[in-house]
Amino acid sequence: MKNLKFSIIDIAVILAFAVIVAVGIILLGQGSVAIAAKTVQIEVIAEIASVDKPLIESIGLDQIYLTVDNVDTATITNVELETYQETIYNKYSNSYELVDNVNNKYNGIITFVTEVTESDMDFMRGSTKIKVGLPVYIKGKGYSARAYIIEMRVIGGGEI
Amino acid sequence: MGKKINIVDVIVIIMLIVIAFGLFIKFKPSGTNEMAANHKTIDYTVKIDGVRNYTINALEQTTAVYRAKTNDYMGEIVNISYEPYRAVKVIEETAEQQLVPVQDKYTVYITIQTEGREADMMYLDSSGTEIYIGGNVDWFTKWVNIYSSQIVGYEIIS
Repeated sequence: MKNLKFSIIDIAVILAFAVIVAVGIILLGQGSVAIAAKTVQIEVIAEIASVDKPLIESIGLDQIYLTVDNVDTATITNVELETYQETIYNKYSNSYELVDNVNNKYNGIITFVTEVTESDMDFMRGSTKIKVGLPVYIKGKGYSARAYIIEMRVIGGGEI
Repeated sequence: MGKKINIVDVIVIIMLIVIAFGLFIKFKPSGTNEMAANHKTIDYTVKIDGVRNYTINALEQTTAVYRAKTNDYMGEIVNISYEPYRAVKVIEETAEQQLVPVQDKYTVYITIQTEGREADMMYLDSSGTEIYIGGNVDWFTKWVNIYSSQIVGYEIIS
């Protein structure tokens, strides 16, 4: 140890590493991961559009995954079945109107609750962004469907 | 002194120079002093066609807007208006085209106020997105994701 000496090169290298570490911290801090994010419960309504009736009927009040890689979870609290409507031109009213389809297609209106981290920019369930207009998977035991979020609201603090 | 610089020292010095150059490129101010002096408050309006009332309700939840992909802050929503969405219908007998209303679908106009910049040949918003009529912008708020919207107008406020 008594022969330990630092050259100008050594000092330069140490400084360079310090700068690299500082820059890395700054760059990582620019992402959507907010250090001060808090945890809240949200209720989300998602629509599975234009599918066959048995698919919707197979969805129960289950624990589900929101992604195909079986990571982010939620709990279904309500399932509604409604007839899928197509937009058809009506020459008598000269407008496009929503008409029940005759092809036995249905929408599933799925309500689920989950715990998310809330930041200024996002609500995140793990790596899944929860926003109106974004897709999620309703993936339970024996069924899986892509749904689009149509409504959401904060219903409380953490811990469902 | 008797100190010798060996090949490892030379490599380290070259690496430091490269790193310093890279950091300079990464963090140098975007644009010239002239651009920095041309900060402008800009209101620009984007249009979304054919959405349901769910999107409008979610848009009204908050005002801060972020650019998709980069997450950069774009500005604040200062106005939202909407009207019934109209789609093209071709009358088969006459081949005449008409715009007719579509039930439960809306065209939404969102005005975003941004602290942008004016350059010689362009306007930029605070995220660096170019503002020009006809441009397509993908963005999101905390509550809603907008895959595509079209800029239909802008106004230089100050």
